[in-house]
Amino acid sequence: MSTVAKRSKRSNSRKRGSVTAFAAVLALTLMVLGIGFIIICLYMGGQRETKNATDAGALNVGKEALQEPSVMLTAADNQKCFLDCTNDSINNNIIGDGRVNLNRINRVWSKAMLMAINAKAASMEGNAGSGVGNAGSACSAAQEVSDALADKLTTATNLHGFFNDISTKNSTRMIGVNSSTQVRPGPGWQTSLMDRDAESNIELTGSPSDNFYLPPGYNLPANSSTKCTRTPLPGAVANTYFLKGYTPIEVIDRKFWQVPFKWDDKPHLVSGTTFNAAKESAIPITWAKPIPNAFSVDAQAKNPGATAETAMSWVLSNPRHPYKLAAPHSFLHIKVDEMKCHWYFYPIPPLKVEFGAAQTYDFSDSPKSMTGTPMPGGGVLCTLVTPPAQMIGLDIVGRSLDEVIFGPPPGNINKVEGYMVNRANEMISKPGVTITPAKLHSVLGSALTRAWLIAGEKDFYLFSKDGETLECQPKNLAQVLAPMWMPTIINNTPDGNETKIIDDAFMPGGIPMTHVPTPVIFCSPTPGANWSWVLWDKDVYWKPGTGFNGSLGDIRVKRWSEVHTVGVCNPF
Amino acid sequence: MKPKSITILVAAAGLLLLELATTAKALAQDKPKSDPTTAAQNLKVAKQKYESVLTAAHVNISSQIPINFPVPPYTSNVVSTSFINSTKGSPTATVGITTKDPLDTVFQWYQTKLRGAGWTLNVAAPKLIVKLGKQGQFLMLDGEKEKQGIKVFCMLDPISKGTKVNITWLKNR
Repeated sequence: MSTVAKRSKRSNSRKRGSVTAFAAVLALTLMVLGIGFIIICLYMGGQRETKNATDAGALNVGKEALQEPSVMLTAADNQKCFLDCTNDSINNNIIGDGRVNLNRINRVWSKAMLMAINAKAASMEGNAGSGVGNAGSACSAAQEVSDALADKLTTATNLHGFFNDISTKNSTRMIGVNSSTQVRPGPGWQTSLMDRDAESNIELTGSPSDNFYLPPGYNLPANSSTKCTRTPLPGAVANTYFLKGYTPIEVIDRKFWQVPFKWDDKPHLVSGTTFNAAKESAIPITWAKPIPNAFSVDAQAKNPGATAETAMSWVLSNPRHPYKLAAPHSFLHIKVDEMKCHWYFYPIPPLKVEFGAAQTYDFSDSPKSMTGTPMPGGGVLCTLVTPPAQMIGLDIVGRSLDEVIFGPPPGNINKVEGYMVNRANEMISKPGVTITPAKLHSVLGSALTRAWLIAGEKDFYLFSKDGETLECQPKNLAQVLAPMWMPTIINNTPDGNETKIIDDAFMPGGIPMTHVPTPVIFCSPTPGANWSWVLWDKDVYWKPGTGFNGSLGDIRVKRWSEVHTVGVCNPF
Repeated sequence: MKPKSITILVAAAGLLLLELATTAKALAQDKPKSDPTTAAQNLKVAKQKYESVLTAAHVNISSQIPINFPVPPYTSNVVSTSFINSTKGSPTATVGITTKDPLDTVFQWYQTKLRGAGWTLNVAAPKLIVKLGKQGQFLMLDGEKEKQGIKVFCMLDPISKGTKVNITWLKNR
């Protein structure tokens, strides 16, 4: 073998050895890279699984925090008055469980505010009575309940269970078969006050143009209401107004609060930056113990004895359950006084004198012919004036309750109507339902009220048994239709003072008739001057109630007839 | 609007004084009672007293129905008419007509006339009249036109067996 051939063979052998080593190194490198890749994949997957589980747990916290924790109302009067706010239904006949939670706290605050509004409106007219005190007491109770709820909601341990309920059900197999995502207690669990100035879940009735059907003369403080702040504006609530969240609403020198919950906005996760920017520590609020609407959660997932994966999440809560500004268990009492016919004479014109006993008339016997007692000396130069028989009761015959209140004689019926429409709307819990003046008149003008009046009924109650429709019924029937709550409050009286809002409205109502008085000696009846006529008269009284004890007020109608008889004689 | 009742005692005392003064004046008169000037003066004073009552009561009374009253007056077999209107507050008035015609005829006439004049009528159901125990004695309807309201009551006059009509009218209802 030549030297050249030997060299060539050695060279080939050396080359082969080099490739083998390279392949071995390459394989090792690839294996290390592969294992590293797998480890990174497992790490990242574990992190993703932990984050997913944390998000799921956070969403559950946002959902469950609406129900629990809760605060139980006490038996004190100023807390009992919120019992009708402790259910999640607009049906007034469904009795609440007495628990106030995040879902219901706005109902409590808004009812307290409604009482204050009623008291304020009454005090503006000087007839608040004990209404302001009661409204203040209710506000204090709302504050107590709210503070207690705020304490519970800001105590993270009250929410841990809701987190674990869901987070532990999420797989974190990439961390380990036995791993699960669980609460990591500590400063990661915080609350925030998001969506400031956005709407709460309390809808107002009507719009600013109709003053939200609030008591006549009262105006809701500026900047306390808003339209839905979602973009784009949902068509369903394009014309709806809501109370504004995290904005103090001042009534009778007290502050009332709402928690913002954008209309029909699902509970959703938010970024930590947004969450942190809305925290009370970032933007202070004058609400001493604000109720939060957003929560941050902190969790970790680990295999026993292994390194943990941690994650945080932030959730904005929303019950997606609108209510109306209302006092659900409430009523308005309408009282029709006994009607009387009074007889007046003019012995010394133009002064009038009532003579003879007033005679009663009623819906059941009207109209009827009545004769007054002849009055000796009841006219000028008359020894006796005898009023002719007059037909009495034409003002009420066959009339409905609506006509009894609003029918002739006229008067300032707008004010009466304003109060009644306002109070009727305060009884309605269902969002979007408005009791217009026409609806009120329709209820009061029902043929049934005619029948009840003819049957002798004088006391009627305006209320809503289902939170949606308005009823006007006599006492017994009202208790039957709202059996769970009406019997306990129906005898309560309004906390305001009574004032007259229609003061002696009158109109001629009977056929003017001539009569012949008995003259004194040497005198004769003056031709064309001896007439007797009937006037229909009406007073309407208003006694406002805040709703503290269920009574939103009394409307009392006093109707009467006056027969005026002028007797005038002159010397021959 | 109206003063509260004065006691009967005050009235009686006033009356007594008035009568005494009048009687003394009448007895002291030298002139004959038929003196036209005195009689006219006495009549004028009496009328003024009557007018003062109407002014204080814020009403005006007449036996004639004004021609501009928005509801046509029934004219057949009419025995008497009267009219009263308020002179304060919302315009209101009442017309009274007594006729010898039967209840149903008069009520039917008003329904026809009012509907023809564009009034929207709400006639009391016979069931309601029965419930009131007034069948055959009483009929009524409410009417609306623009911003006016009327209530027409037709009642059997038990003496003449004719009909008494009472029409109340009010504006800006």
